[in-house]
Amino acid sequence: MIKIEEKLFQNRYRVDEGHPHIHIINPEVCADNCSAQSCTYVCPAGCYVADEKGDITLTTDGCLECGTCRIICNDHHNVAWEYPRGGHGILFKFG
Amino acid sequence: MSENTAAPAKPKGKKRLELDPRLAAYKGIWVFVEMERGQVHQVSWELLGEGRKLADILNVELGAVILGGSNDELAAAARSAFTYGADVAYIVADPVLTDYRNEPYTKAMTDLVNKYQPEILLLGATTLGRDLAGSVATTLLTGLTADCTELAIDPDNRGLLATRPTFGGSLLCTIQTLNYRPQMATIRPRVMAMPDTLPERSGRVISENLQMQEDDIIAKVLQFIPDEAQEQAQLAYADIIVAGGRGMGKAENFRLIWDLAAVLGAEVGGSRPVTHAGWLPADRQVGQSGKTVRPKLYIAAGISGAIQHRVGMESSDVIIAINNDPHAPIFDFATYGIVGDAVQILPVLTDAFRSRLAVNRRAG
Ligand SMILES: Cc1cc2nc3c(=O)[nH]c(=O)nc-3n(C[C@H](O)[C@H](O)[C@H](O)COP(=O)(O)OP(=O)(O)OC[C@H]3O[C@@H](n4cnc5c(N)ncnc54)[C@H](O)[C@@H]3O)c2cc1C
Ligand code: SF4
Ligand code: SF4
Repeated sequence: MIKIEEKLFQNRYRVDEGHPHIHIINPEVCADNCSAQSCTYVCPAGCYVADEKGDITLTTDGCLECGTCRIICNDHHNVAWEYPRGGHGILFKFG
Repeated sequence: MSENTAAPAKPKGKKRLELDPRLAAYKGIWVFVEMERGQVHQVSWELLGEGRKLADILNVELGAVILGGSNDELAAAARSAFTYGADVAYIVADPVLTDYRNEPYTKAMTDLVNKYQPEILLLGATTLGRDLAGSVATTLLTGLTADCTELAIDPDNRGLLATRPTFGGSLLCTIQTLNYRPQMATIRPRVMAMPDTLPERSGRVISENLQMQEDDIIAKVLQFIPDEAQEQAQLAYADIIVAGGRGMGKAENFRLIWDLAAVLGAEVGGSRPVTHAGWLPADRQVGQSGKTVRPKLYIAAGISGAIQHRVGMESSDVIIAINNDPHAPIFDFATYGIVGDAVQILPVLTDAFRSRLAVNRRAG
């Protein structure tokens, strides 16, 4: 089975080290109030991962900037979403 | 060009050009020994090791070019260069060469090349080496391949085959300088292996003078500000790296990594999730968006071996993977694999190394 990581490796990124462009506003909301945790299913780059305790880690390196996570978190508005700074993020080649 | 000047027909297949007879006299391989503040950059020794192999194939001499301000420092560097394989050291000592500046270094280098005529000239692809190589090549009107990762000799024409990644590493291209000399290349640090030293080895020293006055040089060095980061993680130059991944479970468990590293005299590295979680500082991340490392030994504990991590460490000489999942991708390219809980295995390894090293010390 091909993992998402391997597919993401086909993409070109310029990771903005130390400046993640998406933040979870309140991690407790994810762990305690959000039973669906839809972000962990819908993100096409697998940026959101839930651990056994229900805590969510968000790593934006592979983010495709589609905006899905921002929309899907409609019940809680818990995602602070920005585009990466100019020149950073996904750099689609023949996109 | 006028329209009816037909372009010469391109020969099919591999090009074969007769080397200009004046250039056929160029013989020998040179390595530029990069020295800053009395310290030789390690890439120079790596290149002498590689240069030695090429020189033996071509059956020519290996020369080390050493430029600088202080005679003593240059002589010391020359002695080391011999132990790493050089046959001859070309030395230019002049106060104007004390700090690196493109102009006097280019002049010193091109004067040497014009006088002694080497066929191949190698420099490290460091900031300094890249700066110098460009001006030397354009002054000599010869070919330069930058940032190479592989060197070989073409058995057909004894030419240098310089291979470098291009398009962000997705292609490797091999470039030849067919009818100009010397054939120049800069080589990426840490790609060629460090050669063994032969302490008894020695060689000839050829000293030259630089015909240049301080007043002729436009660039002046006003101040030298050392890079503070030098004191911090030196992953790129570590011989041993102990790295941990998300499989270490929690920040506290990283103590086990640090303990093993302390016993081995190793640097500590980690995967992306680990630096992301703040278990390690960001400058210790190994991988695509972190550091590329090439230690003699890389111990990966609780690292799955995702492609983005792999590209940063797969050229390590020996990789030991500790992972509780026998199907983890890291086992596909690890030299040795230990399937088990890293949190239990690391302290055992640390103890084993500690007592083993203590015995060795007593014996030594
Ligand atoms: C654009 C982009 C750039 C990236 N750049 C980098 C980069 O520079 N460097 C990098 O590392 N990653 C990078 N990544 C992330 C990469 O894709 C992986 O997500 C990451 O390398 C996985 O890290 P890991 O192996 O520590 O964690 P995981 O993949 O979670 O693996 C943990 C491993 O530990 C094992 N394990 C669990 N418990 C134990 C135990 N008790 N004992 C032993 N083993 C255990 C598990 O079996 C598993 O194999 C990048 C991703 C993208 C999209
Ligand atoms: S959907 Fe929103 S609130 Fe729920 S886990 Fe994801 S980010 Fe947190
Ligand atoms: S924007 Fe899209 S790719 Fe990026 S984290 Fe959100 S869902 Fe994932």
